[in-house]
Amino acid sequence: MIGIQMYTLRDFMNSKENLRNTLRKVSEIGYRSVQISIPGFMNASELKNELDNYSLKADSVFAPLESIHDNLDNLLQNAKVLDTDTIRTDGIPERLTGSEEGFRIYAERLQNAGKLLSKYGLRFMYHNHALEYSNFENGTGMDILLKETDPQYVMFQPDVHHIAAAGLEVSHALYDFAGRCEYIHMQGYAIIAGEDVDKAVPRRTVPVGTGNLNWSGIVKTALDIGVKLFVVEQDNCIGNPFDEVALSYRNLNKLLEGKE
Amino acid sequence: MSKIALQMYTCREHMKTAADFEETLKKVAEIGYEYVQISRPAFFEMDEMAKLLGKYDLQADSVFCPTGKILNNIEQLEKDADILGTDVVRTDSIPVALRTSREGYHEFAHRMDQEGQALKKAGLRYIYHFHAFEFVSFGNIRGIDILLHETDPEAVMFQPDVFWLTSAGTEPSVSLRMFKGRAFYMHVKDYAIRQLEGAIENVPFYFAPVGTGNLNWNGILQAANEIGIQRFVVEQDQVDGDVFEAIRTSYKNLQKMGIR
Repeated sequence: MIGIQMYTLRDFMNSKENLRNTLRKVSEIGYRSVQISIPGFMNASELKNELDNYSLKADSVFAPLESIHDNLDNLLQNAKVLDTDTIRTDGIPERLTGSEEGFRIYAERLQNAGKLLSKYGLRFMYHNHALEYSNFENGTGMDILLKETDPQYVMFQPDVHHIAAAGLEVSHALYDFAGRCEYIHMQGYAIIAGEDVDKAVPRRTVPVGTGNLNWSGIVKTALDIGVKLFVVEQDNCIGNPFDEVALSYRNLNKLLEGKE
Repeated sequence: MSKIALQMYTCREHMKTAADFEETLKKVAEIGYEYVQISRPAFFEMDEMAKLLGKYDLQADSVFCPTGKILNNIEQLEKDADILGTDVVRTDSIPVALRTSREGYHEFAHRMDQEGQALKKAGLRYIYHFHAFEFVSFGNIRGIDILLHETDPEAVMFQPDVFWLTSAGTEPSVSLRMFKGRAFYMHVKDYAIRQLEGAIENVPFYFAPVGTGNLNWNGILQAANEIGIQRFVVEQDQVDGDVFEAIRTSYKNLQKMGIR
């Protein structure tokens, strides 16, 4: 199954009317699942109505880690309204990424939040970038997050572009998430011409199926480890974002054809 | 014959005078390196440098000549190669002006081919060392594909670099196979991540000694073996801390991985 993280289209969602138009276009492309944050100008049930109008379903509710304990009732309510059992959260704060200790502290917070949510039948999911792969004496920050949280409480939503940007081979590294990863973020990684670069890397996010990632290997491993929802998220688009997410949708369909 | 070499560019800050140059060669030899990739400094003639290398039992694995200057310097290159006891000529990158278009890559491939043919006639082997920018996409073809496919495999060889293959978004254990039969030396250094600064999507990567970062060394060495790599050339573009400690770590870790 294919979804889209609506952050990709963030510049086209700043009013009710724009949001509606954007949801309509996303639905017309063929998407049925969206990863969306409840906008300031709507409540959860209004958003649910809009999603229903365009045959779209939210795959999760967003909550900053710090807010989960104090806003639990609200979160439970929103998950119920949007008809999802998955809570996704934000990244580790910059100040905790410099040491193994920092990652341990964050792992404990993730574990506590996941445990709390599990009491209410909710699943908790962390979305990682490249920064979790910082290297320490005994491994990476990601090793700590994986090892020091319980698979039954903390799920992961890895991002294939950012794993590659961290220097790992994605089709290989995804096995670290086996059994605790049902959603995955999909965006390509390309090198763009026009810059004088011997040393820096002119890295760009591009549509799924384009660029230099090992797509067939990635999809194979993702299915092996139990990924059920491939979520298109493209941090930045160079062309028309709707064209780019349409291309990602078509290419992902081709990549998944006959394999799911 | 050791399969490990050092690109002396790594130690460039310690080679600025004849005395420093010699001291550095001594340290490099003490670590255990037997082969070096080195450019002749302005303060030595080729035979003087050869003599110093001999003094420390170091063997040059190639001579250097910038692309564009090869055709007019064949005799000199033959002579230099003879003095250093090598048959390999390595060159620099595609000029900046040719990097931004498909046509530029076609033109450069043609030039490489001419240079490679001329060197081949002189009994020399030509190698091109690439970075990440050659993995730029022009529609469905990349710069590197043009360079590979529009040059004679008998006359133009490549020196892949596992760091740059990674930062281009490819998986080196897969993409190295593009160079099957076209490469006998390979540059090795690790790709690591340090503490994040700024936006969460930033990738704070750095060059690290072999075996201390995020690269998939098992897969890389297996692929290198399969495509015919005969020598692993340590090149660390930038080093935090003591450069001699860094190249010692790389040397030791390569040995631990079974490269002798």
